[in-house]
Amino acid sequence: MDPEPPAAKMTRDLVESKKHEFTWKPQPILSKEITGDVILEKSFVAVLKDKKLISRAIQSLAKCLPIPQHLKRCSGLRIYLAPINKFQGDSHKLKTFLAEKDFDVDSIEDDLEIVNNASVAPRTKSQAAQALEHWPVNFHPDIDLEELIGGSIFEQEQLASIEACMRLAMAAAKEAAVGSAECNGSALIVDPESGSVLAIAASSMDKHPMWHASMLAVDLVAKSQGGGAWSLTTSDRSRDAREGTCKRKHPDDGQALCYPHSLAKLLDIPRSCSLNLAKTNRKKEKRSSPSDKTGPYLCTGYWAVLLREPCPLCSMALLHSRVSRIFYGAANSVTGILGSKAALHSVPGLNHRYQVWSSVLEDECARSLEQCRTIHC
Amino acid sequence: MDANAWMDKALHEAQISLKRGEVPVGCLFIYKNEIIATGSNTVNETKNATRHAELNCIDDVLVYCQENNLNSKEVFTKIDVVVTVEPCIMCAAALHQLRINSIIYGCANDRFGGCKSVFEVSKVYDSKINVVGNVKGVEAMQLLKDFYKGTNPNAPETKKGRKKKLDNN
Repeated sequence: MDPEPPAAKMTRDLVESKKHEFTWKPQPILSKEITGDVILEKSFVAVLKDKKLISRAIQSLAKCLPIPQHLKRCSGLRIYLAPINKFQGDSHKLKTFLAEKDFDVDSIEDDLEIVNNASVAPRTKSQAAQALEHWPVNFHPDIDLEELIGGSIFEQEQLASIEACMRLAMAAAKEAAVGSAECNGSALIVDPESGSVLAIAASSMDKHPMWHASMLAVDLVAKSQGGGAWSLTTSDRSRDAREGTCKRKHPDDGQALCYPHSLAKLLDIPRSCSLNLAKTNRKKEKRSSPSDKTGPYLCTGYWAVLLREPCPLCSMALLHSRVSRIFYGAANSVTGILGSKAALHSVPGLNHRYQVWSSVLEDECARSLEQCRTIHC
Repeated sequence: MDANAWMDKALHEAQISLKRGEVPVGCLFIYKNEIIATGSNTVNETKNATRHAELNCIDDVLVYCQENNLNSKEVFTKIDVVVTVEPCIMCAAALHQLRINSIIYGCANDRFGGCKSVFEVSKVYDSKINVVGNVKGVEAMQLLKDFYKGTNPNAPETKKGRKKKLDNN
């Protein structure tokens, strides 16, 4: 019997060990809209002469000065009217407007007040608290988002599995990666539901300028679903077969596809040792994996584990492929757009989004990256 | 040939891909005034969401260079890309990394555009590519509208409903 591949043994030990000490903490890469302070704007408010007048005033204002959903209309006797910009900062103009709209201006005090209020709905508890100091808001905390910010989103076993995946990615990169200064390293695509590694690839840009690790990994997943564009597996071409490129050892045992083939020796993780990527407490986590009825669709619901922050090509390839989460180790200050030079997943207008964490075994990943071959592309 | 004439050829390619049930985008790679690669989307065919017209053309250029004993790295720097829709962020990145000469596109890509619409990929790279948009943009957009009128035949049932909903908005 062949000796157990070192990465496979390491992976199993890690996943099975209960008392692993983590030297790293995944850092969520979030948009400024989430991490930043609440954005305030100045608005006019009126003070009602009597609280019995509140409901009539609210009804009357609903018609002529609708209020953004995230703001409450009243705070005690004070009642929200409109942003001062809407009336060029002129309270007299606003009162004339109200009178024209048959609002009972006699029900409010002569002088309008100016308050700061959240200009857009607060996204986090912290932003809501800031907003509340100025004017009441309607806010329902997003539990998942709060966990994400607080860092409590992952259970220990999940972290161990993510670390195991990253150690596999490091081994793959050291074994085979050839990339450029712009993009290099390795990529794993895993199914968090089944805990299996579906694809593992190392940059092979010496063979093809588009063969970045993520591009290869995505095509390997396509291949496992009966598609695929590139000749990456043994069945594709006789020449590749002679070179012994890659193929699942046993088509039905869920073994990962890999490219280049030399990575196969890192795999062979026994089925009994599947990764614990899904939460044990399933109620908390939304199921985002492909439903059993329809079969897999692209990489929907899968996670990508990358040695290095991806370049725009790889970032967008993973977005098109609909992965739900990305974990990376080393930052990419040259072309990285999931934290370094931009945060693609927070760009408005994109119709699919993934969540991103950096800093998984960052130092070790950076050292692995230094050992990868770099060519000038 | 001028940009309009090239674009007619790219639009023809897009029309063919529409009939195959793919998102209708057509693309040409022109080298020394000659088309050396013609491509369209093969996302549904390959079950790989990255198989856009531009990436298919890149593969064809590599084969062309191999067959003609040319240095592909040099060839790419002299290529003009004619594509019916603004390249997405991924394709724009690919074209920047290959340091191609210029991009001529038809209509803007409001969903994924990587030249100007959604994210300016050029800001990440050193290379400067001359980009010209809105060449026969109305025709290119009409093809996309024709496609999105129908539903994607390859998407699973649950996604179809969602897609329809999105497109009606």
